[in-house]
Amino acid sequence: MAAAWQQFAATVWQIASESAFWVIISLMVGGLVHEFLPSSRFSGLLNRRGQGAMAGAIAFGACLPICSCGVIPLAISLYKSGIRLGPVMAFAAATPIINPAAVILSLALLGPQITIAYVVLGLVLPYLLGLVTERWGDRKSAVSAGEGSSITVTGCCSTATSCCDSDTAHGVVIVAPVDLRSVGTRIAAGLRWGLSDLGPSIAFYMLIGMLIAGVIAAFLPPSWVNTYLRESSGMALMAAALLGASIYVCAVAHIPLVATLVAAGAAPGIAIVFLVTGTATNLPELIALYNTIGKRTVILYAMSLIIGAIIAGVLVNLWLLPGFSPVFDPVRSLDLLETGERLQPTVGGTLSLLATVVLAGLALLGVWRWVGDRIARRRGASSGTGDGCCSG
Amino acid sequence: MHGQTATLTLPGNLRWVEILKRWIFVIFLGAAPVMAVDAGTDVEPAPEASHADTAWADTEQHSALSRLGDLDLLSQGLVEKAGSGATPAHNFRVETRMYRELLRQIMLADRQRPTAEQLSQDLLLEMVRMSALLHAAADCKTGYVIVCPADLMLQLKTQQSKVSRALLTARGKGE
Repeated sequence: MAAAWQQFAATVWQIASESAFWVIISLMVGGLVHEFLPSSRFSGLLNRRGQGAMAGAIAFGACLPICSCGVIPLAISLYKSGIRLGPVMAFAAATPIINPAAVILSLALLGPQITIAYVVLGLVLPYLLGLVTERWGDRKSAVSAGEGSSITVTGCCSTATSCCDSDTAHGVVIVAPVDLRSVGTRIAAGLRWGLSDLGPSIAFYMLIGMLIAGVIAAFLPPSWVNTYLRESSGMALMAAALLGASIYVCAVAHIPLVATLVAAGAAPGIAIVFLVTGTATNLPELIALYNTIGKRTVILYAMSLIIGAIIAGVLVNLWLLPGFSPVFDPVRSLDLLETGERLQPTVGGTLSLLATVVLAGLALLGVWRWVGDRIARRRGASSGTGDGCCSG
Repeated sequence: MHGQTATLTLPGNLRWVEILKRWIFVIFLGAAPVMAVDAGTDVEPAPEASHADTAWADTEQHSALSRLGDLDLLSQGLVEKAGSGATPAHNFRVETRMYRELLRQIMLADRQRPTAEQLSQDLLLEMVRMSALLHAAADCKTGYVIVCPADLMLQLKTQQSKVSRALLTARGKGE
């Protein structure tokens, strides 16, 4: 029991400290996006119908070296800034799956064939996810083409934070007025929104996800990864997908792990499935999106991703098996590893600790607000006022 | 966690001396393979190699295997440190880089020898994978110390035993 408790604490601490810095950066950038995007031309570009917006979101996401936790605030702020659901979900999927460092590491350790499959899947799957979620996802936010910076929202109060001060509430079409405030004031307002409005709710949901991920890590024997990822059957592909979806996986950190499994005889399709599902889905991310963007969207997102990855894994196995053996030039692999390391920004210990403390503080604030919100609702219900949201 | 803080409270100067010592170690160890590279390029083995040449090549391969043995010891120590949960992240990163650089120099020196006398590619690839796993472990820092997740730790141990086994096999063939 002590070992399980230790594993739980280590996992929670590891996820928090690895992602905290990027979550804080993402919250700040997200705040600026929320402040400046609705009144900028980019809003129109990102909301344009057709493939351009989706492709742009995927290309942008593929260049960012952020994990699936770090991308949450940015994706949510894009969504809350009125960007279409499709590009937002495509961006949320593409960012953790694929980034330059991961591609180079994959080339160094998994070989060119698996890397080609990985890159193609990393670009195509987010696109398909974007299409699926836009078609069948929650319809809280929709911006029709040609409306420029107009934002139509038909629901509100889906988050733990108050939406009453948000310009995307009330179910009406709001045309962003010309902002007469100075740039400095707007930057301050954006950062305030990101850190004090969005931050606590995101950190609160991430905390729940981290605690659940910690429980899974505590009771899931580490040898399962070794056992299930070595097979090549359909069941093994499903197991790899579920395993990847339930544990915290970072592409850059897990490529060496997957490479050793492939070298030991694991099917190449397993590597693809584990990397894609592992990086694009994790519990803190799914829970945060579930509570902010919408339940149906997140269920569709996770299911499409798992099914898409399994299909891709089967196709990769058909392509490369039997007889696949990754062959490399060791010196070149070492050079590529070094290049990958240079492309992956590392966060210093002090900065990482500081960011973790800030994230923990935001999570506590989120818990406080959530409890306060619950108490207020109960009081409202018991007093029979029945006032809806945003009545103030 | 209390054990780690003792390391962290080392005076800044001592820390830099430690880093400097490690890099001097890298440079000195690295000099040997570089000299071997020079020797390999300067003295081309004749087509009809004499007994002395063959003995020289055997010595070279033996020396390369011996250096790989040293690297194996280094990685064993690093795996233990990764599992201890109290290794300062900065030191671990420096030693991981040292492992990679030494491996690179051994491989570059090995390339200068005739194909038949080169080290096993499988062995070298196992060591490249070990280097990648050690680098992944170096990224798993929580604050100032290395804390590896259980799955990565298990893989590090498995890979370490594979490398040691491959090295033993290579030594067996060499003798």
